[in-house]
Amino acid sequence: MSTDSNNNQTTNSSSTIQKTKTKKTQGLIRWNALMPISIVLTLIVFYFILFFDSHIRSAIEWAGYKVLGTEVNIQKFESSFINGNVSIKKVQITNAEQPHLNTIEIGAIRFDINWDAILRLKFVVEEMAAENIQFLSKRSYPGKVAPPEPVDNKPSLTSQLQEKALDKITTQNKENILGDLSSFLKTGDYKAQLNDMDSKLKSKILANELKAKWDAKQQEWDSKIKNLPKDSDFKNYKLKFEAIKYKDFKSPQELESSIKQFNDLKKEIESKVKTVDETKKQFVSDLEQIKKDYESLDKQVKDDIVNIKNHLKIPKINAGQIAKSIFMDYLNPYIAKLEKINDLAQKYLPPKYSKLVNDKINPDKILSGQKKERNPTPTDTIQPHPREKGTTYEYPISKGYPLFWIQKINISTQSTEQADYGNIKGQILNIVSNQRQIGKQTELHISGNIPKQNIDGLKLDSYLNNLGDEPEASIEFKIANYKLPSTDLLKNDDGSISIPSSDVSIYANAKTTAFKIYTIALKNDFKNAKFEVSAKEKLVDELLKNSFAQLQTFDLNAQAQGSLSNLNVNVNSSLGQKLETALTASVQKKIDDLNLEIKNKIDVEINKTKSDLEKQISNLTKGYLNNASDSEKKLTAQKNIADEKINQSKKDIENKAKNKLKEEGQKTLDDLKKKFGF
Amino acid sequence: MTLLLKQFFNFITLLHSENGTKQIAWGLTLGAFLGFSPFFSLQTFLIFLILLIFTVQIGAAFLSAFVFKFIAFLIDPIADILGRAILENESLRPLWTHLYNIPILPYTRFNNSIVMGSFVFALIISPLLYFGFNKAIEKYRSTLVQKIEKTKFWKAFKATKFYIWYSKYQDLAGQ
Repeated sequence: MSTDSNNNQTTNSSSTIQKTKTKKTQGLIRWNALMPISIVLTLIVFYFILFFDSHIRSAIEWAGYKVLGTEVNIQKFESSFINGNVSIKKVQITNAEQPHLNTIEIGAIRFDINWDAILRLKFVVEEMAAENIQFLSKRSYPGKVAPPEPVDNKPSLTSQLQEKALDKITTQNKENILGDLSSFLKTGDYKAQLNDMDSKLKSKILANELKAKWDAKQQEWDSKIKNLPKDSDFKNYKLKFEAIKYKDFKSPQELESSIKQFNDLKKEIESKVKTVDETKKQFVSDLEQIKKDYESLDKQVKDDIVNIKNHLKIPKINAGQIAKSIFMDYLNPYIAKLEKINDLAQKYLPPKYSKLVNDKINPDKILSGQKKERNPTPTDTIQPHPREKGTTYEYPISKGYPLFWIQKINISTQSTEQADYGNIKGQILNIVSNQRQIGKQTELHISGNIPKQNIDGLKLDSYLNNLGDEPEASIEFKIANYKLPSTDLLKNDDGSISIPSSDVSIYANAKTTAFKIYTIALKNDFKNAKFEVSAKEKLVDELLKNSFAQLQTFDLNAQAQGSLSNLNVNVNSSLGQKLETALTASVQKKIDDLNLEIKNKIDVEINKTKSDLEKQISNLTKGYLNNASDSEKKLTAQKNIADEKINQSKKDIENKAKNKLKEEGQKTLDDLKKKFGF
Repeated sequence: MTLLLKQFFNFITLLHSENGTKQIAWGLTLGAFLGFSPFFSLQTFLIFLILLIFTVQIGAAFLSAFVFKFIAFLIDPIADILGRAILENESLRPLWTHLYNIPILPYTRFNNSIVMGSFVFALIISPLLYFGFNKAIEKYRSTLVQKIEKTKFWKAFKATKFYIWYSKYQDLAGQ
């Protein structure tokens, strides 16, 4: 009994406890949910304190590698959300051509974040500082460089410009001023060479063909002329006409007979006229053809002269050609850099501007902001009625920011005893995702000296303007003085021209509109230039040494203009001018003699045929054609006589008939008068 | 269908639980706001925050949001008219311009006529909803619950494994 009561009490108390448990009241705040939230928030805070900076550093290094294709290293990334500032220390960007060096190394980058913009999901920096910049600094280990992109069929800017500058001669057949000069001066006697070419001359072959052709034609013309009517024929016609009666017809039958005779004669004359006319047309056509053949022979002669000169490698002593053949290799690195900058701009500009470069895409469509048309997926199922979109109202923005905007970056670097950073000051203004929103263009201004690289008076100004309908980009680059390291201008098996040392001042200017039309200008002034020249051929070697001995200053100007697919390139240099003067004195006489010899050779072979053709043209014009025309005229005159006689005959019989009728009428009248007594 | 059944069972469970009427009513009312607001908006986030911080019945909120989403779809034209009237009001224009230029607030999308109209509509009917839900729950518990519990269906349902499992869960959770 007591056990049961004990059990009952236990059961009752446990159910009471249970009820108590089930009836526990909850307060206003869900404390049991806040604990995990606090833990999560604490974890997030710890993440930002401990790991965020290193992750961002890795992300920037990865993104930099993807964009630039070379390894980017950052020593330290520090950010503070409370203070709203970011500091990046020692940024190194590997040089693609020299991986053990950095293209640029920035000691420190510091900036404050604009929280007002961040809360609007925009990234705006009012002022950023970049300090202790070095160029071509040594790395502690060679940096990673991405493998080059696969080659496509589209010619690079470099190869297009090179092709243009060298008048579309490929690299293998590149004009070699030294080689040509060597070959030319080496070879003494050209007569044997010219004689060898004799049988291969196309103009000679053509001349022989034309001679055979027109000699045959001459015979044809002679036979045709023989078939033309002669004076005796015309006399016969005259006699025949006179023999036919044309008046005093006694009867209409007589008239009819005369007319028939006239018509027969007329038909005969007309058939002769037809023959003469056909002959005349043939002569006219032959005249046109012979003139064309004459012109083609003339052209072939000119082509042969050019071919002979090329074959004999007569060098073009022309300042422009000399400048091009010497300096194209020197200019290629500048062109390659421009091409790289152009590729980067096309790749990373806002899509609607970079796509303008691609001709296949309609720029108007992109700039109008039309979204891509998605192909509607066909479906047989019932589609629910789409939700209403309502009307979205845009209110005036008094405090708006573009998506990304760095207002100013101050660049400053000063050399110290520990490191030679160069003494550079500059600013980059308004790196922004939407220039039209702020109404300002992006600008870059840098000036200073880099003693380590022997660069004095460096000035760089660059502008990117997207405010108008078409984007415009320009860059102006000046170096007052730069000690040019040893530079090979020309180097091949025939010789070399190099400048071991010189002082050069550089001015470069490039501008593009809509990334379609490019205008590029480069001007280099070389001073205190010391040349090292050598050539395999002794004569050429002496020539070059004498020419370059007194040469210490010269300039180089290069211009390119137009679209990438059709750039008009021009290279000229006072060096070319000076070389032309020097070489002309030595070799020009020989060149002139050779040119004369080539001309004489051609003239001897061809002139006879040409004069024969001229004679035939003259004969055709003044002789045969005139004869045919005369015959035609005479025959036409005879035909007219026939017509006249026929008309006269008809009139005669008409008159006679009229008179007879008149007489009979009068007689009848007279008879009537008599009858009636009048 | 599964979703609908799940929502239905949740609702039944809530009504038959001994949770406070006010928590359920608040949940249902806040759910109405959720239903009338766009999913990706600041006000949705704030309501989730309220649901998390305060002891408001989350299940009721989601159930209510589900139902009111359909209602919002149906009253879109009315919300549009109401929203346009409010946003085009000249006397309120300085207020809207000021709000438009405050950080974060544009993410409420208040400048859209349907969002504004739906929100105002929810605001207007929220007191009615709260008190209405309160009354309805009390009435249901005092009248219908007992009737349902007497039905054969309920008895059969209580014998199912699902209900047994659920009862155990409730006991363990101390509800």
